[in-house]
Amino acid sequence: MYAEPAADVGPTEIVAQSDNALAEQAKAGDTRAFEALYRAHVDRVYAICLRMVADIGWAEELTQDAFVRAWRRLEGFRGESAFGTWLYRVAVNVVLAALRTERRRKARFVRAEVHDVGCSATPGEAMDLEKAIAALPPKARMVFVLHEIEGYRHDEIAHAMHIAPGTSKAHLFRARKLLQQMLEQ
Amino acid sequence: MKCPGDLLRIDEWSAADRADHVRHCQRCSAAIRLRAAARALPRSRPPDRDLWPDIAARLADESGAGVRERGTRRVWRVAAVFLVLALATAVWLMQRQPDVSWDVARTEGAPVVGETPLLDTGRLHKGEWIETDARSRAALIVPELGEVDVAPNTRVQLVESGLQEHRLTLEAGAIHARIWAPPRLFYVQTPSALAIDLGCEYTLSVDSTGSSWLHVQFGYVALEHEDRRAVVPAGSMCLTRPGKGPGTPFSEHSTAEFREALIRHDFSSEPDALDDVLVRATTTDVVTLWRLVQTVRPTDRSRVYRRLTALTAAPDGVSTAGVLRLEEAAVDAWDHQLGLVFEEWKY
Repeated sequence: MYAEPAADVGPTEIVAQSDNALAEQAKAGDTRAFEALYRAHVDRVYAICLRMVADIGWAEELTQDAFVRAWRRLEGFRGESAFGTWLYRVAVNVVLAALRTERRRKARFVRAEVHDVGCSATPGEAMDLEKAIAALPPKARMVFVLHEIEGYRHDEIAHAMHIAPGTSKAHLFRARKLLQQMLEQ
Repeated sequence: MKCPGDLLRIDEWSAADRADHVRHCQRCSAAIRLRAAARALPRSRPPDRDLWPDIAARLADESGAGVRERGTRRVWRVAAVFLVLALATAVWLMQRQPDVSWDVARTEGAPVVGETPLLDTGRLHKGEWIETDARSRAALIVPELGEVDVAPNTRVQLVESGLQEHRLTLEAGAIHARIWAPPRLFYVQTPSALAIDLGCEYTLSVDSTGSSWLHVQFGYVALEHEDRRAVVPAGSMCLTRPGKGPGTPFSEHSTAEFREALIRHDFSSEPDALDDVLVRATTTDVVTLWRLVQTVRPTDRSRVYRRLTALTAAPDGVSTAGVLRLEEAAVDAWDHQLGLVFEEWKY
């Protein structure tokens, strides 16, 4: 699957192409096309990973994993949805799989420093909310991020997290309550 | 409009209904503000360093053939695992008893489910108790029907959960229930009465004597004990006493003096208690007076009705004689005028 990019295609031409066209080229092994997809989407993928794990170093690793996973699974992308939509779901699945299987990460999870994850470009209230989200218990944080920020439904979250839809609702209920308490303080 | 307890449902309402509801529902208003703030957060954030070189290196390590080979092997491994899991699941499903349980989530402190501290989320099984101390809280999810917030110092048991009914026992402490189910599916038994959800949001607490306080925020809740019943509408409260059941519901804005007199009337045999109720009643208490018209002894009915009509005009066409005989048309006219149109109000 891996191959050198075509020599006659310049970076400007690559950037100008649509995601789906780039994805088709990447499927053929063109890593420059895939790099263009990376450049276009890395900020969003990284934001998802960071909000879900509240740890900068781990979020970087997971972002890399998400793109590597996407590269491996490009054959499964049929262009029926936007490439970004597909890629973000791959990223969410990578994060959830990592959380399920890498129990050794748990200690690191708990130690995550809230101030590490604030977005310097986000002023006032949004900054407080980012910190509060980062301070949520892991599962409550994941459900909140997926439901309230990424727009997933409870049945989708339940499927992805291997929990019952009711449990997803319970986590969201708890997350909202905790956030409101934290923001009122 | 009754709070459905679910922002997704509120989103389906018209803008006018939604705005009207949010104006009156503090909880939904706060949740909507929080959701709006969450959705306004930046969707992107660049990593502090360029991650592409590491990704490119990992891609370079993977030859196409290798990836496909690994992919094929992985498919077979996954298929084998699925086959084993499917067989194990089938055996387990054949052997197991139906699992009646609710999702439960810790919201503060360390609630105990059964004998196990709840660290994050878990299941409350039929017959199990959940207990909170002074520093802990928990949230129960009533399957498909709503949610129950378990306050500190509370002891609650899941008694039943099925298609016909969901039932809790509240032995001590307080719960806050938000139920968006059809009426008569969610029950809470306290030491002094059975609380029956008629589609509502309410707070129910039990004190050390076994008495309970009900405060209804939306909809209606029925309280029953033997032959004594009360339907408590939104904005009202009701006291129940062990062995006696529910008293007369009263407005959350009633004066302390009126409440005290009403409680004496409901639960003691003091002959002057009803007089005090009538003297202390204000326009806030007309629903309570109308309830008393229907429940006091026939010999007291006339003076209660006089006090009621001194505070608010009778509906057009309703005769005093018809009310004193509790004729259906007269009762319906008063119910309609006072907004007591829920059909289960009239037991």
